[in-house]
Amino acid sequence: MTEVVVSVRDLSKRFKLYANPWHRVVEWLTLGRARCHEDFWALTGIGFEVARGECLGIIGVNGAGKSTLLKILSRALHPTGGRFEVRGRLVSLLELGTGFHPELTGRQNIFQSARLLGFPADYVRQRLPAILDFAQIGEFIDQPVKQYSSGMFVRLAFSLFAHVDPDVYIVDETLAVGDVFFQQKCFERFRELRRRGCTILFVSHDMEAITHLCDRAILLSGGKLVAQGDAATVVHDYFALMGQTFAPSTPAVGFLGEGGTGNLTEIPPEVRHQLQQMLPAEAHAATGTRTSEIVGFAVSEGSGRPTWSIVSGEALKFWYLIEAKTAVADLNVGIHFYDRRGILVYAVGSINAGTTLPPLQAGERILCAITVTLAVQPGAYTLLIQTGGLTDGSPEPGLLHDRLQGLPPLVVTARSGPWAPFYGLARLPTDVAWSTAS
Amino acid sequence: MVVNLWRYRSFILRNAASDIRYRYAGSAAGILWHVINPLAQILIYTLVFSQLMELRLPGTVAVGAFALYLCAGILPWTAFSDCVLRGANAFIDNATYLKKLPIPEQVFVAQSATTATLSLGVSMALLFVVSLVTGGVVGAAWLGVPLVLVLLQGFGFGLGLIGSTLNVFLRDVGQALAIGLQLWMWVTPIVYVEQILPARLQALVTYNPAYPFIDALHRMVVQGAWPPAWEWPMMIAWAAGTPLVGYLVLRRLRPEIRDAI
Repeated sequence: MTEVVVSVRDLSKRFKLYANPWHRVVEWLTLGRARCHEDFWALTGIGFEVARGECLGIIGVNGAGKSTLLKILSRALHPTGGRFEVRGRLVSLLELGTGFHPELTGRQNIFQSARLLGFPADYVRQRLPAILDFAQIGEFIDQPVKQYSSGMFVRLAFSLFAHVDPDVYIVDETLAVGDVFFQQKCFERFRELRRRGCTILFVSHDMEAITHLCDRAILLSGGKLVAQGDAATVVHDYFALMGQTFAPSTPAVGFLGEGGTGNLTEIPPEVRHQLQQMLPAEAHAATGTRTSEIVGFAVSEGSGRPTWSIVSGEALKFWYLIEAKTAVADLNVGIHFYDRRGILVYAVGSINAGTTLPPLQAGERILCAITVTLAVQPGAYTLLIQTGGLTDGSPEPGLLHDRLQGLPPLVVTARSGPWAPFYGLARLPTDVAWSTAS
Repeated sequence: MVVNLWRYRSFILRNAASDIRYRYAGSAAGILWHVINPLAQILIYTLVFSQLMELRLPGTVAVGAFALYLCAGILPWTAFSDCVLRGANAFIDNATYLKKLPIPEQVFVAQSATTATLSLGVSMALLFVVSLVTGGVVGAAWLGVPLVLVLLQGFGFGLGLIGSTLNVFLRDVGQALAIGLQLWMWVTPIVYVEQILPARLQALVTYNPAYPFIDALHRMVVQGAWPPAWEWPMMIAWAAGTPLVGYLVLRRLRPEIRDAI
């Protein structure tokens, strides 16, 4: 029988929006009979449970209500309706360094913050060596924290949080602190906390971290809980949701035949549906001649299901529906992958790949699919999706026709296994041979 | 409310102490300014009123008596007004804490009240010393001074609590309070003696909630006499009543404070 540590039932939060602060006074004076505000429901009907020792991921786009939910759980906001219960001591990383007084020294701040979180001084004194060792700020510990670099500040705050033992932890996007070594220490620390049976609520936009660290996840959208279940499935739902927000659901583009466009004989129905959604005007970059235009775009995995995430080493199909505005003789359809540091990992066009697309007349359409095996390291990638043409017979695809912008990031997750299949930016074709030497 | 304040007592005291310690941070004399400032104020009043203007308190011939009278009123009033005004801004100034930590709201008002009270303690101790040195009437009644000061600051805490809650929703409250306190100071006999008022106003002046506090201080510091019996229940009522009202207002609006801040 697992013990439920966090239970949330039918939780809702309303913010009253007043156009003018005096409207509130009018409501007070009329004892609420005059209604001068608009309600904004940041959360409605949220319900979930977390068992002891479980790690729950909370995901959703910005404004979905994640922070509001966490603030309610850490009792910094009062809910409007519903109930929640947290058994035991809860510590929230939302509070990272908020309790720090700039004029107090690092050491004094550790004691003060711990006291605010409800841990007695003796408790902290015991753990002080470990905290100081973890934070690596050396002599500065007896200097006022206003003299700290922001990195030192965050490291100190984090190591305090990492060394107290609450029953429930709330972690909000804070793993992005410090250098890579510090981050690795943080992850290690989290695994240790989990082993010790600490319950963790983890909020992040890093889907890879969610799938790795969490047992289960919940997905919030517009203040509602739209999915919950095992982390990988919910992450998938998240990307499906992002794909939907990108393409509004007004089918305005008629779909012509796909014959004669290479070997594309079957189009999965979901992909067909997505290609028929008209791209909003702002999806097209201002640059480009618009000689040809991308009128539909979709990404699908091997089974044909539209997705924006993939396990490293598997293939994705990028579907382009292109319309020629004037006659195009030398169409080039391209894709670029950039990693989170902005490094171009891979770029390819139909011409580079050795496929010559047929010339198009004005108004003619073509469906083109580029399949790429994403043998790249796990992480988020941004895409450049574009069409172009050759200029003056030059071998470089120099003339940009159309480019899509505002696409969601493509997330590559790690393959599960005892070790990574490779290290570095991307996997290069590799072969290892051996024979016993005599 | 009291339970929560007690639970957070060390947070309140430490923050108040660091407020005091760092108000003059960066200056060479540092914490000494807490002594220099009130001392300078006391000495200037003494010099101006007893030597230059040669004002005499009615019924006394003592040289320093008017300066003592002035200080006995103006130092506590400054602290009281500090307590109310800083208290009224306590929620707004500590918005970062309120937004993220489950600290009870009243803690921040208590913190600013404690800061004001601590520096009041310093300035009144100085006044005591100056009074000794310049030959004022120093009697057993001085023992009652700390009690009156604490009651006065309790009154200020209550007003600060009401002010800070309303100020979250209507920022005008803080500004209006500043003007209100100025007016209030001038209708209270602090820089003047109540005997100079027309008889009609003299009868009214005792209805001023601040009057019993200031009058009690005047009697104890200047005349070495205990305040009349009726002033004690009045002071206790204000010191207990306003925090209670403040708490009720806070309890009513608490769910929305952190949303609006």
